Amino acid sequence: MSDEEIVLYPWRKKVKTLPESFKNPIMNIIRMGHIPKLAATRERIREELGINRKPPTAYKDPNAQKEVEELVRETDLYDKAKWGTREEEESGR
Amino acid sequence: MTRSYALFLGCYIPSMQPFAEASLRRIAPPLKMKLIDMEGATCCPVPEIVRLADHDAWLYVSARNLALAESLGKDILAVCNGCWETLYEAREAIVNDTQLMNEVNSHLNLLDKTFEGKVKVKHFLEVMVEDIGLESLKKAIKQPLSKLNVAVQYGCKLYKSPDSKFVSYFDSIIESLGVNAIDYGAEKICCGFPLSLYSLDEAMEERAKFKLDKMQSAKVDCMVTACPGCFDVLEKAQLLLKRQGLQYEIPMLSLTELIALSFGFKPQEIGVDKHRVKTKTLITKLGMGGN
Repeated sequence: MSDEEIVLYPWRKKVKTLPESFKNPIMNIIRMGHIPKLAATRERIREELGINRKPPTAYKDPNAQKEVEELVRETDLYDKAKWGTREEEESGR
Repeated sequence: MTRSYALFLGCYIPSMQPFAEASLRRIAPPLKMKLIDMEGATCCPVPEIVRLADHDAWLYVSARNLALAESLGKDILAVCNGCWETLYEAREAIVNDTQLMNEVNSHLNLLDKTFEGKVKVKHFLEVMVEDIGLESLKKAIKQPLSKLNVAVQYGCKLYKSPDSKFVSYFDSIIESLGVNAIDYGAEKICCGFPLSLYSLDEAMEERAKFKLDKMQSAKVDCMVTACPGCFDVLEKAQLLLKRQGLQYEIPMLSLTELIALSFGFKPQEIGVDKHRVKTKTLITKLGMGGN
């Protein structure tokens, strides 16, 4: 919560630890750039509807996914969440 | 005159609700809209989670999306209420604070990107009313849907637009389509999407069920929304509450689908028959064949 928000919402409690339910959405954003995974059935429906099987977003752009991770790495999000980065998880640390 | 926009799809529409994307892409040419894909765009990111978790992470990731649009030289067309909120508010914060803009750009520059506030963020409703115009919308109608009684699900974010003007824009579009908006008495109640991020069960019981009960009592033919978050929760609620013996089966349409149907596109062309909550009764009522 930013200082500005504290002024706007003085009764709102400051977040000390993130809810466990935030973990998957946040990790998905960091890793894929999006929250929901793109299921094969949805890809098929997209194709049937005449739109690209993979959406023209980070879903098909590994570079975009890396860029998001780089940006997030510069913030306190990992520390707040105490979750490992992709590299840490992959290296087994 | 054809108008071009940087299309920001967000997360839920491309991955969960492709019918909303397909219908948008179908209605764009008759409305003289050119949609330019924002390749490499990511989650806006979702304010209810990322902004709460870390304001900087929220700001930098949204600034990256804004920078992508700026590199295309086009205003953003946001087709999701949550995406509009994030991108609009991030842009406002950045362009009104030189120091913040410098800070944001110091991070974006590492990715060879920059954002100088040259492009705006527009909601689909705003584009329809302020740019395209309701007269152009009416001219493109080939299949009036005047038999249809709909429950409008505005979504909370529309009330955050300046003077809540997006709410009246939604009403104006519905009126222009000739559809009957039914007063079901819970229009302003949140669908439960933010609550669902903590507890899906509570969101179902405390929010979605209340709304669905009201819509069912009002005997609407379907509900229509311009918010994929509302769509997702109210769809999930109908499927999950069915396990408790609660049969709603209220067909749901994204606003772009409703417009596409009125433009004469067949339900199968835009994926109305691909919904998880069945739309057969709706399609039959419209005389467009079952799924």
